[in-house]
Amino acid sequence: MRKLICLLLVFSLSLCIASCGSAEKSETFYSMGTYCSATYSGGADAEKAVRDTENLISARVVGSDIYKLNHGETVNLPDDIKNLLALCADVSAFTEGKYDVFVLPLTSLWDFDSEEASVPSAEEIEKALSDSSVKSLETVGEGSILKSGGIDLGSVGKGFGCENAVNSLKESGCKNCIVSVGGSIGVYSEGDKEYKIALRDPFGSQNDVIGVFRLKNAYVSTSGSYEKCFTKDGVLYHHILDARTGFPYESDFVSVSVVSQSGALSDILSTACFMLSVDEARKLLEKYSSEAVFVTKNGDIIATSGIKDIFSAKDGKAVSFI
Amino acid sequence: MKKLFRLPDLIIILLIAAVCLTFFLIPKKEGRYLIIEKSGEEIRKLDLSSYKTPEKITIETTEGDLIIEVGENYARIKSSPCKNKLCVRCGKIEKSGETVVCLPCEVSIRLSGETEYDGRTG
Repeated sequence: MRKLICLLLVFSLSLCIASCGSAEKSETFYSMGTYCSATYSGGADAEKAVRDTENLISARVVGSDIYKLNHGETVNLPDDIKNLLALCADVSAFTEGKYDVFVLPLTSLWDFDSEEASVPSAEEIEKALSDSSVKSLETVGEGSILKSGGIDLGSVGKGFGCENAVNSLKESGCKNCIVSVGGSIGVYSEGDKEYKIALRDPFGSQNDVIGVFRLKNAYVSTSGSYEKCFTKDGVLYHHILDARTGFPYESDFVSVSVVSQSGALSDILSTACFMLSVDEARKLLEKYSSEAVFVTKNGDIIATSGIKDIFSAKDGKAVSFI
Repeated sequence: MKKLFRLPDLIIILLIAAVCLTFFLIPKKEGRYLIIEKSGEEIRKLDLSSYKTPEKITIETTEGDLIIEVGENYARIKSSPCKNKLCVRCGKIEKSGETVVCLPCEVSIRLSGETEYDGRTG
């Protein structure tokens, strides 16, 4: 009897201590030029994974692999970066070159991150297009080299960083987590927990919501013309550039959100689909087993049929399925 | 009749029970708070109920001074040294979990409490 009571007490104490270890932790930090957060039960190193990703692929970080490529060095790229670039190339081909990552001369020219963003001249755009004409890496033994131009992974970095953070948490014993790198969100849940992710209303302010995703093990990223933009002489210039023309793409959409099993994919596809028709976008999404919600300039909500169970519009707003 | 436990045993048992109870009975702070973070670190946690009349809080940043207005049921970034002033244009936050971020200054304000959503995209 005495032994039983002692055992029960030690067991209770162990449970209490164990519950501390798996208590939910939250952290916020700034990386990849944006506000990031991670909330997780168990696991570690979410912030480190995002920062490591930035140090590997950001064109703005001196000494990153992409920085070195952009400065003419031969670089032995890790497999995951090679795979990422191959994925970008495939999506680029599908969009007939509208989406591309070999666009650093163009993105540097527009520089939407700068507080002094302005409209480049036609001559400047021509030169940047010409400087961006090399669209692939060459192989030199084990290494890769970029002969001219530059790579900007801004359209995929946040989703990729988010994915690396979620994987890092999973590998270190996380039971469930949510990581956000800007608007790229990744969630993981071993049990029944579903995460509710609000979709910003493109016509409202930062905290206005047009719909909600309910996700368990997935990523969602959104590309929108209302983010990173400026208006000059009554014209809106947004950051989603058509790599063929050098100008912001004139889309039917104001936002495209893609749900995918990969963070990088959700980010790439949300940008690419912004520059496609609804029908072309549907085919691209099908190719990569992904789903999407589109908000048009008229305020209509269109979605792929597979999203029915995981997305609902607020205030009973209608959603047309394709 | 033989005692079930001797005195030293009882003391240890009571101590362990007390430790267990503490984990379950740690009181949670109720109420609404404005959490101000700079570069990801919490620098101020303000109890909104003590702001019957709105007050201004100045946060020094590398970009300059950022002013936050705090009232009994709301908060907002009143002015910011950033160029775009997107944070100022966001206006008031009133619901638990709502957040406004000034990226250039790396300052965020957030209302504590149960949130309707776990995350936001777009």
